[in-house]
Amino acid sequence: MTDGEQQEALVKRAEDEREGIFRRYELGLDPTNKVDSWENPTFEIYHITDKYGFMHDSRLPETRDAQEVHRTKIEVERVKKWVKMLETWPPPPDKLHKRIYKGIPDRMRWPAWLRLLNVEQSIENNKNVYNRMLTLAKKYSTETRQIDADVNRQFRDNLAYRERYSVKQCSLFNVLNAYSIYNSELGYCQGMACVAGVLLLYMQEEQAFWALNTLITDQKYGMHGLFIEGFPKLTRFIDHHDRILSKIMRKLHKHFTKHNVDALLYAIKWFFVVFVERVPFSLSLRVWDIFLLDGDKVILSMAITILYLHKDELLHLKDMDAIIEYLQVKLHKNFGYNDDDAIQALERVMKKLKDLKLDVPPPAKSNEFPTRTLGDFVEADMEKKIGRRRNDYTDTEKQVITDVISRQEQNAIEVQSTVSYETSECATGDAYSMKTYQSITSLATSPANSSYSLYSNGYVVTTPESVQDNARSQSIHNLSYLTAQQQSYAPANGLQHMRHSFSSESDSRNRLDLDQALEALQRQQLHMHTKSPSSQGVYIIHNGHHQEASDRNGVNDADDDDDDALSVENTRL
Amino acid sequence: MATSPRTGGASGAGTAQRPNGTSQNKSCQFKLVLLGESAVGKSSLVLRFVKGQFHEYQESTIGAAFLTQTICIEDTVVKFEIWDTAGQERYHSLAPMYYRGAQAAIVVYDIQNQDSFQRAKTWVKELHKQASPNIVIALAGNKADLSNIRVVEFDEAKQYAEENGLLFMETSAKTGMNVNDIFLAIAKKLPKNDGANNQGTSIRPNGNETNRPTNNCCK
Repeated sequence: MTDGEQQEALVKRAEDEREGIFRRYELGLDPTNKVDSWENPTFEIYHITDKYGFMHDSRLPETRDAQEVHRTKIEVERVKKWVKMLETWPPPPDKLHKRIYKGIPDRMRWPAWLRLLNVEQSIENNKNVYNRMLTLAKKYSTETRQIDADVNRQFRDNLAYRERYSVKQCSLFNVLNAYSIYNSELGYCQGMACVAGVLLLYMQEEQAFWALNTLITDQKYGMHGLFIEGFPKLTRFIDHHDRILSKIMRKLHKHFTKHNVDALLYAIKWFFVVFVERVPFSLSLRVWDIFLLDGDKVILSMAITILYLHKDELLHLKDMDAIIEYLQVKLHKNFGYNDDDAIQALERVMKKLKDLKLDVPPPAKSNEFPTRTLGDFVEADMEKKIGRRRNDYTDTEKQVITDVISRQEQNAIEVQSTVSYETSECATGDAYSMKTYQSITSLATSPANSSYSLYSNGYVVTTPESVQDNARSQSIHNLSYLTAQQQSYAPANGLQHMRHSFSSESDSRNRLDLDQALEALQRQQLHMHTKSPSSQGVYIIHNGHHQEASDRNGVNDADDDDDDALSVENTRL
Repeated sequence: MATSPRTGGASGAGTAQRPNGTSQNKSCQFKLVLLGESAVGKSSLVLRFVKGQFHEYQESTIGAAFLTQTICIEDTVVKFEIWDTAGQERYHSLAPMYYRGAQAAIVVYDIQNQDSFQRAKTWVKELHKQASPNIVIALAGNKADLSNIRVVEFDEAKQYAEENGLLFMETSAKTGMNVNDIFLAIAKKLPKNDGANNQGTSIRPNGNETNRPTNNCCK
């Protein structure tokens, strides 16, 4: 084709196109003038899809409220700042911290997350590795069936993943398969699809692979320990979560214990996928921003923040199912606080936990990180290849079972000790009047600062019904449940607590009730410490992670009330 | 038996009644656990039973989910506390946490998947060995709506169930087939009076549903 002919063809094409378009307009609303459904404003998907691509059950509001408009305006300004900042990476830490806590503008998440997770560098250092892993995975991955099952149900309410075998579904499938070869020790664990799924909403396939690898293997995030067989990091984090809860939210902790709400039940998903699908997606992204900046301690603080912000509601729920439903379902649909407020609370909780030296959990053990060289291909054994399940538990799994069961027994003991007083009474007497009697005596012995009292919001800790569930408390026969590890933490924490200074006193600008309550807590402790040597002993036991049943039973009513004076339950942001 | 009357919430429904429930309406509470291979439809069965819904793309369960449902049998109100567990083998070690103290279990397999049936058998074995001795176990061959492409024959599963003293039904969470029935069958088989249950079934006077608060959104 000569140049002249080529030009002629192009002109002809332009003419045909113009003609075609004119024809459509001439037809107008004629029924033969077929349009794609997406061309009309009634096309439902436009109305139910949010800015992250998630589709909702019903139409989203037609107009944006003033707040939303304001937020968009701010975001436009922030984008400009981020563009500048990304050009001069890395920015000063203070500036970065401030901007990330304000929330990375959504359209800046792609470049920002790439930087935070060092993705470009990883790709540069590992040229062709991803493709090699993917090729090996096609031949050798033993996780393909499970990955396929999970890709088929991951974020199916999001436009990117809605269609079976869509580009993003394929990317997700590839990334997870390739990773199961790259980190052969880890393979694939349910939960990883969600993490990779979020990454892929903001980056391309190979980038997501390396971002995932950073989250899993970097010391700062260490998700390897969460997903590996035996879940060692989960156990470590749950223990620390319990420790924090028992110290700064005693009432809620008791409430959960009484209703058999083990942290394992609600926190697995929180920790494994960093709150995705447990809080609104926009908020989980904000938490991810901060998680990518500050690492895994953010997860612990966010868990506490959620419970703190919702403690009043949670305390009013008197059933395990209501509590779990609240944490698993309700908060995802409606968090009740806007994202900015929630993140501000998170920041303050982080600061407070730091002041109390509770922000950092005990260090990881070596089993939380890969021991095999990443990327070294290891062919799976025959059992794995044919996908046969083991009939027995491995030693690691046995250890998990032991730990889990001792937790349950521990909880049962705590329930038992909380209610042991009235158990015997109720078994023989009139329960109703017994309870009334209980309330009266409790009120009579409650301390002067009754605003902190357990009883001020109608919550009575001594309830007969919890002992009736002997399905759960039947296992109380083994009192020697404390592991050596648990014992070693208890006194150390107690002492740390004692040494704490009032570092936040100078910072009154951002003060919250939480801060004041925590200070009250500290004053109370110091007060107890100086006033009565005997109560100091009680105090240390009380603030140890695990309380032995005998000690708990030995605590009299007055001490119990003092305990609640130590709590921050009645504060409000 | 340490069955204490439950005092109701603000409604004051909880008048003191005798633990042994001479009143006409008894209510029992049972802990039930769902076990089985990944993606056989455990969560979907629960969702159908509890909410009457079906999601084609039920999200994978991380850890476990907890739901409850109450049904009536004759004069007894039976409340199921249902633990829906994750199916991946890696989560296997957490399962004892859920089936410990459970009075009932539904072991689920997918009738299109022979491996999942084998896996179900392993679960049954484990329950017989590790769970409460009186646990009522039901075997559910799920995805029965796809019976034209089945791999596991009905008779084969039925025979296995009979040999092992299991309740057995083929179910479909998608159509709802046999879903309520299997829970009902379990409820019928569970002991519902004080003397008969020694695995910690708690019996208490009716009226405890009244104190379930509404979830007021905070602020």
